[in-house]
Amino acid sequence: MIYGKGQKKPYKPEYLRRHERFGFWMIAPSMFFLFIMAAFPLIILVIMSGFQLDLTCPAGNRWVGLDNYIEMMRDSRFWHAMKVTAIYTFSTVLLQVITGLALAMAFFRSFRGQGILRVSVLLPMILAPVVVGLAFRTMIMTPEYGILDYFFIWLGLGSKPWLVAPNWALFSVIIIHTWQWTPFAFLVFLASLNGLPMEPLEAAQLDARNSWQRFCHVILPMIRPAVVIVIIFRTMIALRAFAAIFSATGGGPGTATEILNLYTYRESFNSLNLGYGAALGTSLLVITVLVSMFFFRMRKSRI
Amino acid sequence: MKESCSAKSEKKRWLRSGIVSGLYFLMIFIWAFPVFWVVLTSFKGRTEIFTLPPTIIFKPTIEHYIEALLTHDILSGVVNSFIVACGVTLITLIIAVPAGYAFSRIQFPFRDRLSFFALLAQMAPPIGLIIPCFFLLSRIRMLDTYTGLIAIHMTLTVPFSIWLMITYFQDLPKSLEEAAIMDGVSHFNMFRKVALPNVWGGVGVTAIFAFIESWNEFLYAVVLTGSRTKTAPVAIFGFLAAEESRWGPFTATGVLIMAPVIMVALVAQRQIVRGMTMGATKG
Amino acid sequence: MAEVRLVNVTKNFGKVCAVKNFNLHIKDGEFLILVGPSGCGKSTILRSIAGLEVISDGEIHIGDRIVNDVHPRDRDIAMVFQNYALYPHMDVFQNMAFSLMQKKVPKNEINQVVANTSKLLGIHDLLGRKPSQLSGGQRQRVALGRAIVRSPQVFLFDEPLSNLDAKLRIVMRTELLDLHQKLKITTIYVTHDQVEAMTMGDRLVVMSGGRIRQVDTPQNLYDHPVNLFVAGFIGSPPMNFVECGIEKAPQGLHAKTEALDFQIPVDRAGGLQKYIGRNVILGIRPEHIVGPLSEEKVDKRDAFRSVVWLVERLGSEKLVHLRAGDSTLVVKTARHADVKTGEKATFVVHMESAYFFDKETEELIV
Repeated sequence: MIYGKGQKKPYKPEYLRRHERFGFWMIAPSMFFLFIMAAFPLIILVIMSGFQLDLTCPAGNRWVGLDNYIEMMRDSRFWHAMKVTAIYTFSTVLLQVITGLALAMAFFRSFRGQGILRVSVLLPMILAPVVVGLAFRTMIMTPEYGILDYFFIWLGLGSKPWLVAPNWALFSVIIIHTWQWTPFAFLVFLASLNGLPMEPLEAAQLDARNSWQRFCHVILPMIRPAVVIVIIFRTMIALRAFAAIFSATGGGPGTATEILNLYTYRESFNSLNLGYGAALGTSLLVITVLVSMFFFRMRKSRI
Repeated sequence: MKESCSAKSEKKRWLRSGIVSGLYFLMIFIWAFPVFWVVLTSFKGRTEIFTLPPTIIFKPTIEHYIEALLTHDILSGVVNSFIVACGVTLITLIIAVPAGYAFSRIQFPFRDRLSFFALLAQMAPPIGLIIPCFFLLSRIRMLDTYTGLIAIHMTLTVPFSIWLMITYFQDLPKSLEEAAIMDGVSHFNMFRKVALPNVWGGVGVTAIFAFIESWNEFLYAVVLTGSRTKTAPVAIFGFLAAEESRWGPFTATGVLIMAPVIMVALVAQRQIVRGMTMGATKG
Repeated sequence: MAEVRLVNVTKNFGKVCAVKNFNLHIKDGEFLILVGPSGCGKSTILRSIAGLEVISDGEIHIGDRIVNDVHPRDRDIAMVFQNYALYPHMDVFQNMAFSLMQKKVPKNEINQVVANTSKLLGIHDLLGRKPSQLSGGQRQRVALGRAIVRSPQVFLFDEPLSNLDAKLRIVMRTELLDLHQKLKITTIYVTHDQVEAMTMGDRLVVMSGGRIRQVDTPQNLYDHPVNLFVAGFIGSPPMNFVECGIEKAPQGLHAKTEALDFQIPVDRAGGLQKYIGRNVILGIRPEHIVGPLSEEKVDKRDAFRSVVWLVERLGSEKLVHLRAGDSTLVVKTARHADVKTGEKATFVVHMESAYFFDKETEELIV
């Protein structure tokens, strides 16, 4: 081995090292930016959570250490928000995966007309979530005049309190989110299924007792990586969902649809209680990190 | 697919393709109809909108569009959204494209740690960023500025753009770069004259994603903007909150917000779908 | 033009050693070919000479300087890649002119050089086209032109003809040789195709497993292989190998398997004395087994009768696969030879042309 003077690593000619330094400068601006705009604020967030920082009565602002967190533990609204978040996240991800997968399975062997399908299916995902929420609130779910409600009345099922009654409201925002994002799962699964080699599938047709068997034991294991990725992506998005819920229900009625994200917002920017809001934000951050670590571990061990 | 001769499975296949066709139209309906309905409503006269049963054939009018644009907020909202989105897209590309190149091609020091950091940056929940940023920006009187909003929007666009550009640069054959090394290109020219010209398509798609992300964004905008820099999503929200039953101007504004994005998406739909699903299939 | 010397070159990829203690001297103006199966390290050596790989140990000399630390563009070399690596977004002219533009050569000089080179290669009327508008052969020529334009001291070719179809490959082979005659630039050429190597090289370096197995002219490699690998690699169809025991008989030494028994010529017997009672590997080329012969015409020495297992018709000749006990022998016969699958036929082995290899070391014994 050639070693440079006093170096422990294998020898690298100067021109290679210059190339690497050049590479470093190419990423420097973006890394610097992310550090300042993403990493640094999070540190500030955690620090802020240790303060009493109420913009409506600034006289009382001071360092309080962990008091905000203690208060949080006793805050029933916080625990309610956690519950709603859990229901919301779990339901939307489950619905997206099941619906997306079922639809992809239905379509993956028929190629005719997939172009038009792709466009219609792309549509919801590129719309502004705030517009989607508002549109559902007005055009679709308004009693009598919203087309969904009108449809229900027409079916004889009667008008429903879509966004008005607490349980219905939670159900409705779940529907809205699922409506907007199931296409993602659908497209990913479709791509994944289309990419599978035909031979094992054909062999399975002869071996398996019925289609369901074939699905469970042959197809599902083969697309497992795609399913995992979809679950991870969608969970992360569900945790940070904001605009659609905010515009459809505002978190209400009351706190029926108030996921932790929304509670944090209301506390920070409606009540202007930034200290406590920061504590709530930090909790959400911690939850996000824990969930992704969990998924990370799961992916590492299973692949 | 292997053909079976028995009549029973023949019937089964017929039934199956019937279900699939039905599903096909149902899907298109479920996902395209709401958008279609919003667009339709925007052209209905005031009383027409609230007629039951809802009508599809009617005499169209553009009165709501005119009203929406004349409501000062909304026109300036669209203009502001455009300014911010363009700024975000431009600066994102400037810093993310070289980064994508470097990550995909060069073994620079700390590379692995930095790519992990970029991944982490994507995980930060927006509410976690907006609270400190709001606090800090209010201290230095930078609320209601374009700069502030562009900067924070970029936290959404930069990590994903870097990741997308990495995949595009990775598709270039290594021998192309090696031939250029032998031909004596400088480091920068390797990027500018050899790699970049071959990924313009990818740059375009990245730009589209960044633009859409910024154009549609709501949370950061609603917190950080004021009367001067209010973007369209904030404007439309404020409008409906104030005048709940004014569906006409609301849908007109909605169309104004959705239209540019839909048009762009129609043109580049293949690439957009590819960009979205790529991460999932490549794992 | 310059000579190239590799001194104790070693290249490791992490824990894997691709090439170890590689020594080679390439003469000025020579057309040297590195040939061997995939993964033998030949591309690694070529890329190390180019500077695209940094060697872990050793020295590389081009001309009279050591180039270990020298950037590839300053080594005065040019390389032609297997997939041509033309810049897709530039037309032919720009592809060829690119290296000169990086060196800031004046424009009219560039035009001059590119014009001359493109005329030499017959692509002068393609200068405005993009690579996607060219055929495989044309792209290959542009890649060549790009290399020639740099007036290098050494040409490096990395399996340049592998992506062409068979017919085009043969045409390009002669063109490359013609070019070499004209330009007389030292050329180092990598290929896995031994036929290509045999027809083109002044000298061949046969490699496997990161080591040199033998360096020599094509004819010498064919006639005098020093080990089992080279003997089996060079020549098409490949040499037949049969493991047999050496036994002493009244007339001299015999090489025997259960189905075959050949007398070893006297001049070889000396070298094989040590192997009496042991097994060696007998090598015999298809053209050195003659037949089919009718039973009466043959004198029993070195003849054998076996079943015809397969007949391949090449038009000009036939390749007959024979089964003798556990071994299969491939024989070249005249095109109208009377052999039928499944029947027995008699052949004679010209033992003077046989090779004997040590079973363990795989070296040539005699």
